[in-house]
Amino acid sequence: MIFGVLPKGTIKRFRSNKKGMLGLYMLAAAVIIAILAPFLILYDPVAYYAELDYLNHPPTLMYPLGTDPLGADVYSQFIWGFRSALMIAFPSAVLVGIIGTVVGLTSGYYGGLTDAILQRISITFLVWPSIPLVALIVYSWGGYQAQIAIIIGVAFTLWTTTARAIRAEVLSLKSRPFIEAAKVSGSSSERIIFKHILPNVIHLTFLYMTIAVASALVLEATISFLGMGDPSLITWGRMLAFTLTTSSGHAPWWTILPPGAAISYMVCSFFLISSGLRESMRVILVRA
Amino acid sequence: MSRSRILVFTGKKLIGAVITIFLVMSILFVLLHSIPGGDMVTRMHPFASAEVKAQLRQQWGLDKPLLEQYLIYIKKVFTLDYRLVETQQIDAMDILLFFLPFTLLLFGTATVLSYIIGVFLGMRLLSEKGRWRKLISGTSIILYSVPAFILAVYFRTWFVFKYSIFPPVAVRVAGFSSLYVDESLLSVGRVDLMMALLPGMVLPVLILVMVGLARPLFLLRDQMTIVAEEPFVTTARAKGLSENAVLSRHVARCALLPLLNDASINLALIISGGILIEYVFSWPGIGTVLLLGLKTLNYPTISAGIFLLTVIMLISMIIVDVVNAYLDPRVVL
Repeated sequence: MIFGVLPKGTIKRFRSNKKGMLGLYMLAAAVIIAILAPFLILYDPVAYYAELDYLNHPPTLMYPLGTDPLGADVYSQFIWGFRSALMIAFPSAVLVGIIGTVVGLTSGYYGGLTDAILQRISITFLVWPSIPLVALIVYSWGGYQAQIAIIIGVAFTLWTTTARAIRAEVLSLKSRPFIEAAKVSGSSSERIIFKHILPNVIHLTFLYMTIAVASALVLEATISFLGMGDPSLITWGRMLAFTLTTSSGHAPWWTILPPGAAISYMVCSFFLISSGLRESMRVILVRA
Repeated sequence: MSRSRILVFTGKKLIGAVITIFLVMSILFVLLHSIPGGDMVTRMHPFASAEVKAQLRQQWGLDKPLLEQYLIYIKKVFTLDYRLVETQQIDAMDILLFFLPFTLLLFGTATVLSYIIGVFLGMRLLSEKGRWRKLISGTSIILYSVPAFILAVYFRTWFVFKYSIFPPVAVRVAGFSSLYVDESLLSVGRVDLMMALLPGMVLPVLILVMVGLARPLFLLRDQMTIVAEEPFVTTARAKGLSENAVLSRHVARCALLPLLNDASINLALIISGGILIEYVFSWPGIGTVLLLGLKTLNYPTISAGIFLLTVIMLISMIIVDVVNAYLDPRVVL
């Protein structure tokens, strides 16, 4: 079981954590909506446009959340957005976890020149303004692979904080007696890293991945909002961009409220999960 | 002794900063050149004649081998030569430097305000019991979850355009992707511009403060919870100090240091996120110019923008680090 690597009692404590469980339920609802999306939508979110009478129409029985200035059904796009949001946010968070853990472990354990170089690179990516970085990566992959490019770009901008946290933890672990003992008894560096250090920092990877999902969602929405994403992919950011560019400031409320609320909902769910997770892990740190 | 320590510390940080800028610009070069569909000349002037295109390419060495282009690029970056053509009166850097004060005005005000309010609320939060505490942390969770640009879109649509509660930003940025910009454009007085901008600043600052409030608030609350269990706090209580004095003089002081430590990372996040707020409100700042340049792949504007943003970020990070090293003698490099 994948949760076996978490510190003992984390899951039990997480279960009794109100905030964390609320976040988890919110996420579960979103995942269910994303899976059932083809049955929940009323019209094709990509290809369907309403007849002329219903352009830019307030919510009615026929269009539960109204239509945007071009006649696309807001409700169907809103539901479909759950799919694209999760499909971009999850992979980029996993990528963030992998890059961050590998860099953090290497730079923390080996130290010296390796550490200095990796630290410099991580500061470089920290100060690189995130939006232009993702935008340029998306440009260089081309508009029709924007989804993959956004995943990679988001991972590139977000791994630094994970790497920093893992590095700090590795540094404090390295001075513990059990690592010394392993070294004295002749274990190789790989064995020490994978057998002794990694199991003790992997919970941080999980924690930072939940934080990264929230940031990934926001960055993805931002890039779509700026009109740099895949135009054929329905995302909440693209919905916002569409209605704002076609209505010159006077965007009707039914077109901007649902996508914005949905992004906030997802970010809030991951924020609650991550703070619940952190609280249930923190207790161990204090007790130990 | 302490002064020389700070000097050495600052020197090391400065050398590191120069290397960082070099790395940032190198990554930018690689990214700019990996974009398919031709270089900036084919993007900016797709229908220009061959001679004009060749002439434009010459200035940035775009007709030379890649390695040579890289050397030319790095030289231009560090000598601050961001001209598109030889005869240009003002270059991209001049334009960006003209807008720099407005960006600093917006971000500076917002950052300072959000830290002051965040620290104040965070200190109150631990001493308050019951309803207020729940209300404040609940509100800040919600505010933390709403991305700044969505708040900006909502507020702009409703409070500026629909109900006209807040005035719009009264200065428009246009025409920086065009080739020939002359000096008359920048001859407008900065003070006049700033006075014109002040009413429009209310809403962006409000949003940046609302969004930036949560991080110092949560961090301070967490730190204070940890510090409050330390033995010296028990001693302070045993001495008979009032609860207020214990919290503000003993607990909060120790909890403020990690906050300062975190500020250098937070600044990077504020500036990265803030350029989007600038864009949404068409605030005449670096972010707006940079994002407009990105749309036409204008090499000088993008390079100058990234360079300037990186320098601002590094300088503010160094200031935060030096202050941190000055206040906390345990910090070593």
